Amino acid sequence: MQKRFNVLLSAALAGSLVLAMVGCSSESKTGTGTTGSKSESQKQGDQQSGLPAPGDFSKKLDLKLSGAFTRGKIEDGNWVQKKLEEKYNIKISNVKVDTWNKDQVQLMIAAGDLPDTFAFNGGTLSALEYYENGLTRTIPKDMLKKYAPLYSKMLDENPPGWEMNVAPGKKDEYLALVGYQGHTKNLIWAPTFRLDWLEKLGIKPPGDMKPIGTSGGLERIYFTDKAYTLEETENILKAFTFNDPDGNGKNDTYGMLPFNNNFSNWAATLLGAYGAASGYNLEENGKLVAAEISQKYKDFLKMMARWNKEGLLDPEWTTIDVNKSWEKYKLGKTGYYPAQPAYVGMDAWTKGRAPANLVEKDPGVKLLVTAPEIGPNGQQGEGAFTPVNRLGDAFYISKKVTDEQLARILQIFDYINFDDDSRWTLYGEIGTHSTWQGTPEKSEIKVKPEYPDMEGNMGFWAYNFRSYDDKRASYQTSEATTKLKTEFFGRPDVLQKMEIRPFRYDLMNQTKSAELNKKYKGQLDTIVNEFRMKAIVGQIDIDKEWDKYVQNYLNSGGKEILAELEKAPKVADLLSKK
Amino acid sequence: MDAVLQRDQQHRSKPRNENLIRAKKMKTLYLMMLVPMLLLFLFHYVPLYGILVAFKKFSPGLGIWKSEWNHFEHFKSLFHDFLFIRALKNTLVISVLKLIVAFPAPIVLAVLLNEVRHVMFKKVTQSISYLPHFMSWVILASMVGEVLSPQRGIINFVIHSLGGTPINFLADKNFFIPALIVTDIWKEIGWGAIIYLAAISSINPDLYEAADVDGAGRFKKMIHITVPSLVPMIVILFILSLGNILNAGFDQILNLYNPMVYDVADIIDTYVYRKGLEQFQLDYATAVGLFKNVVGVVLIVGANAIIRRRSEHGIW
Repeated sequence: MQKRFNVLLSAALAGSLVLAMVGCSSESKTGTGTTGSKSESQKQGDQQSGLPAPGDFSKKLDLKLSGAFTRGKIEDGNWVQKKLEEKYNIKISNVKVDTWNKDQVQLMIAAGDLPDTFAFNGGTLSALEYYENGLTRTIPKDMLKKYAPLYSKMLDENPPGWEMNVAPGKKDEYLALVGYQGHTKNLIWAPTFRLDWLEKLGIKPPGDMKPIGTSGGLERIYFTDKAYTLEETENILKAFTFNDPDGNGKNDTYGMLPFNNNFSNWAATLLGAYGAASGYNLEENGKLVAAEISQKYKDFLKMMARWNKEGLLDPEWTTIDVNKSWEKYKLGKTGYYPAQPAYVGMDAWTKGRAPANLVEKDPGVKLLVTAPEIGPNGQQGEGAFTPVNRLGDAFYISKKVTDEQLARILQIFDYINFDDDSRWTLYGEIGTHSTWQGTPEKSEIKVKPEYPDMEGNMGFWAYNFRSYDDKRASYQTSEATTKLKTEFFGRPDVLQKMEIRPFRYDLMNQTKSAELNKKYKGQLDTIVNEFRMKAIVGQIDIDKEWDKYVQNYLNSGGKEILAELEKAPKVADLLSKK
Repeated sequence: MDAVLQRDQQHRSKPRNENLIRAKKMKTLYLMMLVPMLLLFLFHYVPLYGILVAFKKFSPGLGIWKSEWNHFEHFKSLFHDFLFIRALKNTLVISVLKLIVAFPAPIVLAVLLNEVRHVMFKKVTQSISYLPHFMSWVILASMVGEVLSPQRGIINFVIHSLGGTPINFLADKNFFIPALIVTDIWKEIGWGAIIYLAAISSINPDLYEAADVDGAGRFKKMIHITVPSLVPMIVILFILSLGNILNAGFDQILNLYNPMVYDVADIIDTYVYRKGLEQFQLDYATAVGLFKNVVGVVLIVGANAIIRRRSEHGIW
């Protein structure tokens, strides 16, 4: 009896195993949702690589997407999702993560549970680190050529695009997809002054000025392509602080309102006037140094310390961050504030930011936007947004993604980011969901107030990567901002003269500088931030402490990073490469 | 001889049998205890395997088990990391100061409240003192920022009115620690006093009556009856506080500090947060966190042992 039972049990087990194997293999052959018979082109695609031909979406695929730089406010079954699902025969699962929130993103990475595609603003890993940690897969060049022709064309046009992000030890495979940052083809930061205060104090603008618009507050924002020198700026800040520019009889105004984070924003043009840019390296006395330990930076710190000592800086700056500084600027007690042309041009995405927030609030306020300040050696400028070319950011493909899924993802990626026909993924149907703010096809597009401008039940921007060719960049640029860029901030001769780039940069991952950066960045940032703040508020004597600070920086990993960067190509050489 | 041994064995196994019988009798109670024990095991002990991250070169793609061992690399480098040393020093300084200044505050409040005879006043005072406990440090930090603002803050208004120069309390390392301790007391004094008030309410009223007969005044009764009766509770809470000595107040400091005061305010927890979540050095951050916890356990066991040797009070 027992023997018979054992035989029966073995037979049942063997049978179930065979059934399971048949089930698995049949699933892997047919997949889920495969419908219809194959066309000639599809068959051809299959024969060549085992993958469907471009445009063959006969097999239904599931994709887990988080878009890029999204806020996790996407709603399931949104308008864009339905259209994409129908167009590409896919089922999208929305991963609702605030990609700007470092805590959320880092925990997601630590758990290794990543969406099929992702681009995190709050992430700190480099493309190489994602790959080496087993989180992402590579993207073969032949698949890019086949399934993402528009993206491939963009790389062709932006050398050395094809040489960037190459996977280690693999000639034609890439760690990530990159974006074309057309919206940064201009100087990012500009000094702004309270023009109504300048007029009251009898201070002349540095050159001819004209309003940047005709209504909505833009008529009260003026621009000149000339600049004040640092010395003149200092005198203006003194007048803003001590000469009661708002006429309320109280000593309650300040020249400038920096903040305790985002140093590269508030100090961009002031440090640029000394010829340095935060985060970049430079050559000084024939030696490669980090900007933060350069003589130029030291001179900048001494100027800021002097300004602070004289009371020109709002004393609360050490305890407020950039968001709080926007709120504080709105109180109308600050005379000088660095801003992007887009902020003063009041582009939709800048709503609430200083200094336009005050212009909107107070009809008596007038602003003057100038060219970056002129430094002691006649230097003007600021750090370029991207260190070498206009390619930046990274869009990753999860390790779990199969070639079959990748083929579909690349086609969607190519369409929604590089094909102008896909504008509906960003703004819906123009006329129904959004409107042109000026001349059609030449001005900004704004989503109507009844729809969420991003994500939500419409799903705008929820699946796109941040890659903007000139045309796409123009959709989010107001006519006023476009005017500012055309007349000055984006002019090629201005960029040539004023964009500060690193002296050396490891664009093609040829050195270990990224790895060393990861290892030492935390402590170096702490050293630099503390020294800068203490130096500016006068807690330390810059001259006395400088050498100790530089030594501390070098001993805490700075020396290793700089030695590694010596092996990287010069940016000037990279730029001359065509 | 064998018979003697057998008898001895029977004698020794007797209590075991009795325990078994007793356990069988209370099996329903043991079964009821099983659920919380299981939850405790699942959520407090199973996750402890994550400690392994401290000993690995953690790679999220490989997971904890498959990541390579780091051969104690992080523990070796810990004491060469000047930021860690500073964080450790700051943690100890802040914790010890809090223990000295903030720990007795609820005891004093409880004893004083116990003496208040006006019931309405007592209740209102208690309620007001509890309130800050229920607010998160995110909200309280904004309030503290406003109160201590060099431009709008009431304290600086008073300083300015008296002819002084406004002080940026939160950006000055000489004032930051006092500000931390005072705000910590403000937030927790009322909540901390509850447990002492409960202990006071359990004091035998006969003691006070006897003291009255002996002619003791309110102060004498407070000193000789109320306070001594609180000693066991004070000792237990003190030992528990010692175990927490390396928890200097993460939420509070994270919401109040800035690079100007890192020198004195960057504690182990904020350092771990920056290393782990901001810089994604999870393995190193876990090593730092583990170090902190081990020190905490050593302190709590040590303090308990010392106190047990000198008195009958203690946790176990």
